[in-house]
Amino acid sequence: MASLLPFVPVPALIGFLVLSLMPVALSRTVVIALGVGAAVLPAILFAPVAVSCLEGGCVAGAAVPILSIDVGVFVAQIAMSLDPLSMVTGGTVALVAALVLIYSGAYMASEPLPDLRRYFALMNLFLAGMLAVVFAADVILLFLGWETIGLCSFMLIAFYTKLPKAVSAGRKALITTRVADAFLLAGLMMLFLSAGTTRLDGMLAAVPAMDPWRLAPIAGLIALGALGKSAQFPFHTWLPSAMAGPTPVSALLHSATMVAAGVILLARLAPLFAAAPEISAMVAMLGILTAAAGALIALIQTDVKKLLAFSTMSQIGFMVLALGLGAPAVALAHFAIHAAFKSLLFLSAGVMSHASGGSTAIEALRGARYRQPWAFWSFAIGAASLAGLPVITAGWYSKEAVLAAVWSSGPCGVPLWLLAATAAMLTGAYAFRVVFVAGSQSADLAAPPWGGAAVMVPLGVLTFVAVVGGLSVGALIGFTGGAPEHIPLLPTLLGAAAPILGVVLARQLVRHPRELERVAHRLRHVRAFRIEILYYYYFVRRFRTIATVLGNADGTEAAAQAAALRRESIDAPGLAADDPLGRAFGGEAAQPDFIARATDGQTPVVRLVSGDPVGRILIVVARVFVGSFVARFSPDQIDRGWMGFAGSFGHAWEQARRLQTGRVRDHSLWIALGCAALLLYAWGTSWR
Amino acid sequence: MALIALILLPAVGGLIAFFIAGQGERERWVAIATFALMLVLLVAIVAGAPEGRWYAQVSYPWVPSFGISLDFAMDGLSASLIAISAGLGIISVMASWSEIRTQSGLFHASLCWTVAATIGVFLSFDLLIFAFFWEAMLVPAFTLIAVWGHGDREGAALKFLIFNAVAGFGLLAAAFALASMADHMTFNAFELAEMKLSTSVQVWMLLGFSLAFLVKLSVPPFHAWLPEAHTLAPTAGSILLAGVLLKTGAYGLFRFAPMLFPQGLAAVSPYGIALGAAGALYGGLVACGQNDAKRLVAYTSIAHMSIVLMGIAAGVHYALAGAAVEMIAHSFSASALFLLIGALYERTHTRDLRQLGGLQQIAPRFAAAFALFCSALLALPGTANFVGEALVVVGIFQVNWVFALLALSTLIVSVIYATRLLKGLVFGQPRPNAPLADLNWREYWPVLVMSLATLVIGLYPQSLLALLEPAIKAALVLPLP
Repeated sequence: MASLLPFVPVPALIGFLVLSLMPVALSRTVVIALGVGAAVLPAILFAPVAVSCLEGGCVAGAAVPILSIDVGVFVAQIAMSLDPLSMVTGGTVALVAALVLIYSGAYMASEPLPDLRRYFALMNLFLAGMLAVVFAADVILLFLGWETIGLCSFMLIAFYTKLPKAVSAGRKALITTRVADAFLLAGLMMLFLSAGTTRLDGMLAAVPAMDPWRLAPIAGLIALGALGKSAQFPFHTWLPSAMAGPTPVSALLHSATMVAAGVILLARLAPLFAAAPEISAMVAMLGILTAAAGALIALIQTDVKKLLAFSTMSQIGFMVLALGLGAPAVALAHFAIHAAFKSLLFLSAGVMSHASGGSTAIEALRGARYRQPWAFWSFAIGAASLAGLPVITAGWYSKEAVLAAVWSSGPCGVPLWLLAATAAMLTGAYAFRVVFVAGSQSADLAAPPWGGAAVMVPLGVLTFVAVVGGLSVGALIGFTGGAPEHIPLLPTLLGAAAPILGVVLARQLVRHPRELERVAHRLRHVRAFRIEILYYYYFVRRFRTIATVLGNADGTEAAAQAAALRRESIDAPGLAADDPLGRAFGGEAAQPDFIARATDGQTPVVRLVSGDPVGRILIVVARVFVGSFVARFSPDQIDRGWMGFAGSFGHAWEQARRLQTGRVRDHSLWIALGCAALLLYAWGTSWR
Repeated sequence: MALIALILLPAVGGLIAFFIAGQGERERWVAIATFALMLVLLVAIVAGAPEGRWYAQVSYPWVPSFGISLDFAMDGLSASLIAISAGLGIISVMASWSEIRTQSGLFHASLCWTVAATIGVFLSFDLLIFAFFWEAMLVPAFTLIAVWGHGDREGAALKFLIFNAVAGFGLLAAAFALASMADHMTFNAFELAEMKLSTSVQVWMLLGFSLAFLVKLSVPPFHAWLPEAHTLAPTAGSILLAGVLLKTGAYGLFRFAPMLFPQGLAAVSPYGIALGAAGALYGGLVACGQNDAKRLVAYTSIAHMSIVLMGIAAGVHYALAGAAVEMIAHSFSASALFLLIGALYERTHTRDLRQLGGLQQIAPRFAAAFALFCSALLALPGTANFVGEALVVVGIFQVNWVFALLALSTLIVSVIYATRLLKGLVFGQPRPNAPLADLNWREYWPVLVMSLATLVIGLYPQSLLALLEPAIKAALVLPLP
């Protein structure tokens, strides 16, 4: 059955080709059937492969060669992995994608037909790319899929193309991940040149013999590339903005698949990182930092999709932490469970907001429990799993495994564990904040019920996994070659108590919104976040000076261009606005229409720190650098230099023209000078 | 003999088009027939080619006392560039079907003659004949810009002519110097390659040649002629400039620098890589700041040609293969973008990114084509441009990894300008908010062919690399560090 493996991504690719290229008008039903069918088929094709693997058909690192192409310069070996790692990740991706696409058949049904077709075409291409990443056992297939999902992500985030915010968010995602991809490509190229093969297993086999001075930069570059795709600090800023896309896109791309690609890559190259301990330490640090900061920022969000985005970032931080500590099997188990409950959360939030007039503000969900009971309860179960409520949810088992791996990871284990447990507590708080708001009474109960089998089935399956999936965590860890850590009773109990504490905290926060506001206020005045203001005043003022100077020198065009660039070169919402303080802190969330919706008649929770202040620093720096370079260069100074050079000929000619006076005495003077020069030359030669 | 016919065919075709022009579309069909015949002839030559590197070779003594002869030879590299020239010739005619309405005979004659001269460049192995064709192609290209261009077309045409003609003297001077250094005076490149010259002499000769090649490649700081010439030229002119004329610079460098001056090239290799890396970054950064879509694409050409320079200067196998693929990939991506922007300009009379947008809703074919070729601009895997750029960077890693990281940073810049183009044209509110005619068949088919070429080379690069391999091997003169 292993021979079926290369065909798993093929239906999705065909779905994309048919939907995008067929020069025939397709009816709405056909488009949905094709789009959904092309995404369900890979899961069906994958099933026998997985079964044969479970029966003992595959071992760690096994790969099936697909093609071997002599390109002339080198031999490109294309291969697909058939090992436990690719079974777990591939199975998760195929299953979640199939369910999300079934759901979107209902969710997107009201879109205009061309948009619907574009949606399914892009989702299918995305799925094909993601499956390529998951199954790739060589760098060529891997990078092909890697960049395909990047481009699809851009197109899908910018799906509502009329919204400038969506297009900017898409660009931001593509540009940020591309920066990381450049690192990844560099690392993969260096690894290829060192190992002399494009196969990943061959590369890993060459690792032990490699010079450590060469290994560390390779591992570092690859790690940066993976962290960028996985939206880890400092690359994370694109993920919250990416919520401008449709909800199923967020459910598939920005929870279970695309952002998980970095985790999958790090797990696949685990032996490389095991050989570079300093890089692994860096990875672990960035992971715990993202896990904690993401949970903190998620706590004060006012938009449920943004909250889930920061939550994704934070949960992937847990996985990256485990990877950095050398426990890839644990990270993979958390990946599989997280994929299930996070897509469940997005999908049920989509249903709830659908019934709340399309708004994704948390306040707008008030009373969802009475409007959409089953969607609310699926969301609550997903939130419980995300929080990791002990024993009854799947999330607890996988998160507990991560915490155990942290505890027993050596001298830094205990402080790291404390941080991770705090993040786990905050996770409980932010997850249940939404549940408590959505579960409370609301005056507005008159909303049409929405949903059908296409919505119920995916929610049902995912809810099932989010509850009982925990029973498989031990088996999953064993299957991918790890062993669960056994730790003392005290940290286990504390780890189990953390999410419950979080739930209590959430209850208090919802009862006393002013407390939440105070937390936000405190965060706003943390010194580290203030640096941003300094950056703003220092660089932006300076930038304006440059632009003004250029503008005076070059007419108004350059000034207008520079101003446009300041807004556009790298999109940083709010920073170009006239009110830097308010905008810098409020970010996108502070836009007036949003405030109006979020705080409609309630005690206002105004101007929360929802703009992700930590990440903004990076954007400001990047923007100022790119922006000022571009502004400096865009009038093309070298061209001006050449034109000045050409102009100097004109001046020289003007000077030369003056010699032509037409007067006899001037001419005779020149003749006399010429004769003198010749005599001088002759005199000079006569000395020989 | 067939090679001479390949040069004469478009020259004669141009004459016919010039004289029969009048009512109707005759001159357009003559031009198309000429280019189609060239393609047929090319296929016939390649199909009947003997084993080995050279598909065909001819040599006729012309002025034996000065060692001047008609030496023409064709290998895989020349053949693919000639095929692109002829193909882009047909595409230029189709792209200017509704744009060019005045002096149509002269226009199509100029197209044919530009192609004739560039094919002379791609085939000549006698340096004097090479230099003749090198200068000859400037004249019809000048006419194309000066007569049918937009805006300050005379200024742009003059700038183009002066830059290239002056730089051409470097080539001519170095060719004369080289010929006089031989035992008996000869301009034959194969004989000159046998000479044992000291490294310093080689460096000076190489600088002379490079002056002409770098200006034609438009590597900063020698690029100043290109943005205006590309922006103000008519669509067909931009297509030929980007797709064919720039490639003569790349071809010259690729073919003659390692062949005639191997040690000289090795000596200046780091400077060449540095110049290319700086140029790629500079071109990309300037492109990010443009509001005129055509000007933006023109600056991306500068960036991509700088990458070609990097590849050739690095001189290792990967990098040379990458440079050769990048040359060809750029022909398709830049020409297609110029065609699309030209077609858009005909409909909206603007190229300003701030005044356009929303094509995705009003003209889906336009939008899809822009999306594909912007993906090629940012070197997405699966497009030919990625194969070229990735191979160049891999090669540079073998030489110096600092340079390679610098080269990779151009990937980041490229995504900024490519998405800016996409954002300005494809996304957003439809502007102008009026029905817009989508691509018609004369625009659709060329774009389709160029998309297919981009994707086929991107996904199946060995098809092209097998063709280019002998030329790449011949250019491989530097030992691996």
